[in-house]
Amino acid sequence: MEITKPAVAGTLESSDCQVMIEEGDGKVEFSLESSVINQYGNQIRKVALETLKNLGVDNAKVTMVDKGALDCTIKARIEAAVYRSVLQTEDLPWGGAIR
Amino acid sequence: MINPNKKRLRRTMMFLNAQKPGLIKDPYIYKPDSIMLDLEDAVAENQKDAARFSLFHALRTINYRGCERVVRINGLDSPYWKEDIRCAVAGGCDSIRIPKTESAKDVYIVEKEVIQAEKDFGRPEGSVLIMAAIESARGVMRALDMLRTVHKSSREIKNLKELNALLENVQKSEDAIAHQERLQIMGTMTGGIAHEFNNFLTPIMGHAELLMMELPEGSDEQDSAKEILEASEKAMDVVKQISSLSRKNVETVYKCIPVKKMMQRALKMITSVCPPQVHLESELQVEQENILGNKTQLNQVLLNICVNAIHAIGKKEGTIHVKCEVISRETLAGFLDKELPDTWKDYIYISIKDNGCGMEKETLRQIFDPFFTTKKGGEGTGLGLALVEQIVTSHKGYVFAESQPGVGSCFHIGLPVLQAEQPEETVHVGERHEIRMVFADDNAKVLELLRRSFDKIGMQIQTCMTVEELSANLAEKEADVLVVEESIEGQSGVDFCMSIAGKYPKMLKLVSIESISREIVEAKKKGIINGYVEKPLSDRNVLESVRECQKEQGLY
Repeated sequence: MEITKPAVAGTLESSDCQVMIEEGDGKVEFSLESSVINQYGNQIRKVALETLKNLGVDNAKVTMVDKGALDCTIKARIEAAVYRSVLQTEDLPWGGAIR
Repeated sequence: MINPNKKRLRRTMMFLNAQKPGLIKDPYIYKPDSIMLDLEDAVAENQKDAARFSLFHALRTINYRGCERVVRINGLDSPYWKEDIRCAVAGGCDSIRIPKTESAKDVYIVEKEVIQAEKDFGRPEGSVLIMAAIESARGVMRALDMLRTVHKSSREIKNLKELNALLENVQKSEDAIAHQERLQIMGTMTGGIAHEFNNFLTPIMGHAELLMMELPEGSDEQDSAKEILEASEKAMDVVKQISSLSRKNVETVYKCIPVKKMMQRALKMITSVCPPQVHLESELQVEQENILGNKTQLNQVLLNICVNAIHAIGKKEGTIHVKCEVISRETLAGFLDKELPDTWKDYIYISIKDNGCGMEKETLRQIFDPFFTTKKGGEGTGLGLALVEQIVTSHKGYVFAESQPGVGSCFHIGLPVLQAEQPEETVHVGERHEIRMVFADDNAKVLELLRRSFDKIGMQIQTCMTVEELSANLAEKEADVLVVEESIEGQSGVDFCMSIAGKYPKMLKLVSIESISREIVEAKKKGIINGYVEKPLSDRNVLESVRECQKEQGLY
């Protein structure tokens, strides 16, 4: 999926995370800021990259500010940001690319 | 197949904003019956899209530990609801809640969309329930239509409807119980007062009569005295009815009555009270049948009903049709629409039909209530039919009525038929033949103990564990003494004695009891049973009771 427009999803509330996505320069660039980066940094990174891969995003700059989100929230926020960026709100691939 | 979730319990329902990760991650700790993940009002307009992703992953990954997961979709007037359904169904929700449902069409289009989503995401059709939230007056008015349109699974409205009906029934039966209690208190009170009242009435009437004699004929004063006398006479009538209703001062001995004779006598009496414009027709299809009861009381039952019929016909022409026949227990049970005890096989069925003014439903419901009357002030006591019901019930019978305003009323009475009386035994065994005793009890230990203690004093007894066994035993050979437990496998021993009263008139019938109750004393008074033995049973207390009964009967 081609990311051309910048988009944001999520909040900075506890248990949530805010994801910002913008046009990349040829690869996926992921930067993470988290209160639990020392404990879960690797897991968060893994989930985020996997989600992006599932969506077919291979060229984007993703910035995440995590406030202790669960895996399901991380996925949901990244997906929300990606689909906002491509302006798709209907006929989403539930259970397909979104999983 | 009906979705098993359809009838699950929904007492508590927790609403959560599906967009807030902090809320959706652990609501199950409060153990609500249902969790409602909201996509509608709780979610800001610009977060509708993000909320779906959050919802989808929450449904997929969070274990809600058995709570029903309901998704409230956006209103059908918004651009979001279709995608909401797809997301919720794909995520695996249990139910979809339609907000502010107002028409059958709303439910219909949602159902269509849900079925499509079930197909798209590989879920069995009907696995997602639909809950229609009725939030407006218009919705309430059309609730029934909504239900009719859909043929699928659960609908909250339906559950609500069932719940409402249930609550209504509970309310009704509570009201009925309270009403019954009030009547009972009133009955007890009036029974006591009735006697006192008579004492007051006697001097009033006596003095009124004296005044009438002393005052000049035709004077105003004499008229007043006459009024007093008449009013007191009416009061006396009321008192008499009250006391018969409360069963005080009334001798009621139950005897074996031939139905045909009783009916003929009653009809004669009714004819004598019928005004000329009322025709009495009768149809008696009974021959040898007998019932156990009190002739005077049964006469009163028929008379009271017929007098009401005469009043209903009033001044115009009319007919009263009295029919009497024998029907089986099953037939009567069918009429009454309830189970009847199998103590009696057949019932005498009497119907009294008139073509008078009839009754409204509301009146019909109350006719058997004491003091309920439609007659104008002072004319009726409101006790006639109450008395009818009380007498019929104490005869172990049933009475009910049907009516249609303008067409007429019909009263139905069912009374248990006594099993055929056996012809008098001609052969009498020697004067001092051994007493044959039969014991019926559903406790084997008690029977064994009795058998042994009677053995010791050199008497053989017969024992039975069930009513059927007992009937068979008696049919084989009549006993001299029967001792039956007051409740044998749930069946009343007294009722059994009543049912066989005609068959074995000579047999002494005793009931073994835990403690003396009103029913037992009454049964003895009415002659249904000869006596009772208090438990624990022993050879001694049984023989003592038997001796006492024999003494009362004048046998020794």
